[in-house]
Amino acid sequence: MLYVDWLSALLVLIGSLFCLIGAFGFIKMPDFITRVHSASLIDSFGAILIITGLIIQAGLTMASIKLAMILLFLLITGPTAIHALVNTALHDDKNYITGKDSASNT
Amino acid sequence: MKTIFISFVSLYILWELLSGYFKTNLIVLGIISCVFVTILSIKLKIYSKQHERIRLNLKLPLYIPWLLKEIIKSNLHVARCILSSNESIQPQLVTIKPSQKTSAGIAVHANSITLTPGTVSIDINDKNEILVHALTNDTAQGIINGDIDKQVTKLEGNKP
Repeated sequence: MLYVDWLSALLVLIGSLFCLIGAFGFIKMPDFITRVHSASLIDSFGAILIITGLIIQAGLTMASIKLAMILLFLLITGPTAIHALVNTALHDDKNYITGKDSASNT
Repeated sequence: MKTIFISFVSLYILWELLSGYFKTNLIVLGIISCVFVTILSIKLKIYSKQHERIRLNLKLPLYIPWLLKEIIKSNLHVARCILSSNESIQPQLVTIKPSQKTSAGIAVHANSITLTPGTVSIDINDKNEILVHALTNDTAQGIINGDIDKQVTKLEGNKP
């Protein structure tokens, strides 16, 4: 079972690394819409890798079924939330989308 | 009637998966709450013909690995863009015309676009055109080429 432990540890570590990169980009990116792009990195690949690692660690139990369900719901609700956020920004002020917003400098 | 029965059974399977215990009182409680939810869904007219449902079909197991591959590819691309300087990004807007016919297919298409990093679907207008924001030229080109569009149309099939 040693290899299974190593595999799940590797997946969780790479997932955490991608979450870290996403959080870094969230600070570094110049304006609103590009920040959303870097946040979606956390939402998709970070979540997939971490939860896959946890499923491998849990094995064939009830917990892994629940983890798989959490992953499924995250993959559906995450893009919906991002779409709602960006769509609100579009209807509020088009400059958020085109990247000419003055708020990005503050 | 068949739809109502299928939804009742799948609700009960969901209950069993989430609880994991086979005690009498829990089973009875599960059946009662499933019946309650089914009656509520009938009252809310969820089973009527006006609502389009996303059907599970046999092409889904082919679509999900393809989408995962795309997610991994564009993830590495976006991570590289974040770690390099800000000059490496070219934010731009792209409008595409999806070839799906049902609104459920268009929703799956827009959701897949947002799920792949580097592209975000912003708006869907009255003519069913999706406004997409892309982070770099590469991801914008991927959207214009319409790979996701082809795959979702394949997934949707040619049902009426």
